[in-house]
Amino acid sequence: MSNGSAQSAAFNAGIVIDVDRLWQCNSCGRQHITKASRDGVQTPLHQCVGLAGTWVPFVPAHSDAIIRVEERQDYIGNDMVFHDANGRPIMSVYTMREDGEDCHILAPTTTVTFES
Amino acid sequence: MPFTSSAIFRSFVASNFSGASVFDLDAPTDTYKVALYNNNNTPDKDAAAASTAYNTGQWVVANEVSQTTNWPAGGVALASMTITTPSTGVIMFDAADTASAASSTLANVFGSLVYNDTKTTPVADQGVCFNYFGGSNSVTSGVLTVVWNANGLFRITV
Repeated sequence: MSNGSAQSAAFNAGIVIDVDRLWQCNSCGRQHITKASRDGVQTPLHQCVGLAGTWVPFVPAHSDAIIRVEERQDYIGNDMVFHDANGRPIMSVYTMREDGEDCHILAPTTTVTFES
Repeated sequence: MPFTSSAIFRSFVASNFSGASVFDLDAPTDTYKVALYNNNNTPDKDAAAASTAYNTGQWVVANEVSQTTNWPAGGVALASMTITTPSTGVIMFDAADTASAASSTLANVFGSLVYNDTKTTPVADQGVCFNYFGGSNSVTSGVLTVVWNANGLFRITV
């Protein structure tokens, strides 16, 4: 195959352009980049210094989305729950968008002790 | 009495030790699911195996929180399940975070039931554990994600 026909074949096969998507945290300013080809895949949580070390999601850059942290509403018992840097037990994190909201529930760990 | 704590079902442990039903929680071939519940049930860790199953006992559909295909009745499958031994005397069961589809609307989510969705005998859909989230959670036109703790869904200390 000549070089020209190889280029033609490549052109006919289509060119995939993978666009970067920029995410940010409005609480701490940290940024994160994903590929558009992975849209629908969740962005990672990050431990936000602006929200006392709570694990929170990024939001699309330049959006007005607000992160709201909800404290656990009940006693803890033997469960292992997430505590922020101030010692508050965190139940969930809400991302308030113009067109809805997302919720990340920070589920506790069930603990069991086997005795012999 | 509503949700007040999380627990592993006693019958789940007894089933494994007695051999009545052995549950593989490490990269299993069986499917395990997470169903969401409101606060109208009274979870009982000591319930008989048959009453720990999905859509029985306290875990009836009437108490379940679901939405068509977004977080369907019966729950969402657990992925990347692992059993590890992270430290002295500790056995940990963990899995990837479990998320709804986009544009979900779910309300009054207080806790979850993890159950085996594959076995049919001696008990179909037998429960493994329940996790109390600590209060009411909801989502409107968005994604609800259950972020499993870094210490796992459950942790056994021997």
